[in-house]
Amino acid sequence: MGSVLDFLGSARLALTLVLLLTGFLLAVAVTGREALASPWFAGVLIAFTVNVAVCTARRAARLLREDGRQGVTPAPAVAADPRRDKLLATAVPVLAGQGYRVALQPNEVVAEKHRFARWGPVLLHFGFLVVLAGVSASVALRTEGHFRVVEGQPFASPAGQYLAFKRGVRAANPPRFTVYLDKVRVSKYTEGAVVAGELLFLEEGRPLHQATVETGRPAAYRSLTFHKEIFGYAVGVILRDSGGKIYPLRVGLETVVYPGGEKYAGRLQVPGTPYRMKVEFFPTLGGTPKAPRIASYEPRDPAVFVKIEERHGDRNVTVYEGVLRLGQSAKTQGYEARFDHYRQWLGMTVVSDPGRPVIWAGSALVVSGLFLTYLVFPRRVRVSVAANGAFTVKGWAPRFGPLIAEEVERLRQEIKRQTKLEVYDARD
Amino acid sequence: MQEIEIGLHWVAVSLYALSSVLLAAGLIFQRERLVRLGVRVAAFGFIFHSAALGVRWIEAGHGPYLRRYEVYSSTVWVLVGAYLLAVWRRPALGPLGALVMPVAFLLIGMGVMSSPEIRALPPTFRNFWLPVHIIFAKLAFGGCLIGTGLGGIYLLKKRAGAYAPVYARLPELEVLDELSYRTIAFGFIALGVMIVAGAIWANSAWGRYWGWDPVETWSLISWVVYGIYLHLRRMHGWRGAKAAWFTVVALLLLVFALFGLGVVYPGSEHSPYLSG
Repeated sequence: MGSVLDFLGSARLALTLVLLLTGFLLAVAVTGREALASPWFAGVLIAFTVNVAVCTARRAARLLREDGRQGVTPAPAVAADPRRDKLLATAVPVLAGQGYRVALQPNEVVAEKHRFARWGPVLLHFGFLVVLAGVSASVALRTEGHFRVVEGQPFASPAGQYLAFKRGVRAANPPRFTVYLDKVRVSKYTEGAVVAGELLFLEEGRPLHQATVETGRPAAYRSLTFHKEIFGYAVGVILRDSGGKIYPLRVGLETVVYPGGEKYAGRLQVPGTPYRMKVEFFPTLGGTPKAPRIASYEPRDPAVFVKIEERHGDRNVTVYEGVLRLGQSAKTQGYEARFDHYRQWLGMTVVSDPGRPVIWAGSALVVSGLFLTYLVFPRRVRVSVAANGAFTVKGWAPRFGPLIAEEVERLRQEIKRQTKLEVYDARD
Repeated sequence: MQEIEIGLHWVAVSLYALSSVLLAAGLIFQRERLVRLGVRVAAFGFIFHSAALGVRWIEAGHGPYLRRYEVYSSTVWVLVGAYLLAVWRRPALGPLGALVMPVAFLLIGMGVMSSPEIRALPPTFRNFWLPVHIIFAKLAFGGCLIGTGLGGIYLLKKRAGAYAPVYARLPELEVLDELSYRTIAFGFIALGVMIVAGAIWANSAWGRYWGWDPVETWSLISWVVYGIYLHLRRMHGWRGAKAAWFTVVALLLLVFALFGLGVVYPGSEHSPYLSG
């Protein structure tokens, strides 16, 4: 059993598995994500998890055993010597001043620094396990949905037009919520526009939570996060036929981004009529009536270009074509069209991912573990007094490498400077 | 204002070029005076470079992390700053500049030759975690490059022997090896923080923390490769020349991940950062 655990937790196995994982990552970089779907990848990842788990458990057990015992092996007992003890006592404040935890033993001073950092590798490996657990939870449970909500209107899932996916396929039970888009604020309409939406989350018709969503700053509600993806316009056109029947129409416009600008356009079949309407929106109208263009993205002089077509057999006949400013109307063939209003809408992504907080917690552990493992070095120094009354300083630091010699020299100089006594140095 | 900034940048480029020549000459001809002069010229260039970046920051209204011009310049600033800090702490490490300063000169030169046009910050970039991501990317590059430079100095000193005057003042071989290891360990931690901060930022921006974007994938590969280096040193006793050569290979990978991907993958989500 012991030899199996030795193998499963071995550094050699860890190295082999990490090399294999690097190979998979290179395959992803070169050929795409298909490599991740391979059962071999899953196998290597599971083996790596087992390796890290065994290694972490064994390290932790060893450290706990060490902490259970006395941390420092006491030097052999020697006969009492008040002069020596007095000399040793002078070194104590010097070492304490350098951040060491000092213990005055009968015939030596033992000082330790950063002992807690021995737990660094355990923390690091445990962090890896937490991250892997979070990623597994994320892969298995993450749901992502997409919807649009128009300013001044609520959106209820899953009743509204709402697409939610889990592991790349339609989610059977997508997250349920009702959100009302109270207002869309656009801080500027040039390059780098910042669009924010004021949201109200409703439950049983009552607003329970208010939040703002903007690009890069999601809104959170319960276990869901709402991310603003796109924004655009919806225009309201009122059509009245010759009989006085009114058709209040709202056309949600697509935002088409092209190099150098954006365009807002959409189309709609007028219900119960043979008419089809094409609409293009201009936040500030520019150009000519025949060739309108967007003069500014800031809605200062909003207008729509409306084209109404009637189907005749297999061809479309244009019934009306022209530009309408806000509140303006035009009559054609017994119909009257009026540009009544415009609204802004937000396209949002809603995410439910229980693995995410676990990954953040694991990442914090990994970074803390790395910090303790590679930047904080546990070290121990022993100061004793030789027969001639001189101090001897010895240093021990398994992860500090040759730099412990520099530390010992620094301490030696400091003890010499403060006690004005001769000091020798030596390395364990 | 932009003319002043471009002018300051060119002064820095010229001084970095001069510093590279002096440091290389000092190392080749074993003249300590040239090395000391090279360090001073680099420090002088750093002052102009800092002023250039300060003016740029005020002008653009955001940190210098958009497009090649700003990205390369700010990366070099961190790199030269880290080198000068190392020399200030250990003056004997001056010859390290013979490897660091030419890289700094080439990178800032490539940056300054690209378009200096100021771009507005895309909305997705307005996030606390983005500066964290960027700062740690630069620290990672600085740490790994200086660590590799120390490895390079180790190899040169080992080949030249202890009696060459410039090398004689350098720390002992085993100390150089240890310093290289520790600096790379710092770079590795910074690279890890960069990846985590990037994931948090991506999560805020797009609702997903990892999308296997080429930059993400190559950054992870670089991190794992540096992890292998640290593992080899700690658990398998790799030291000296073998470890130093490993850092050279790993650095090439990191340089590709941080700077080469814009050419290979122009449609990456990191395009605003990588584009020229």
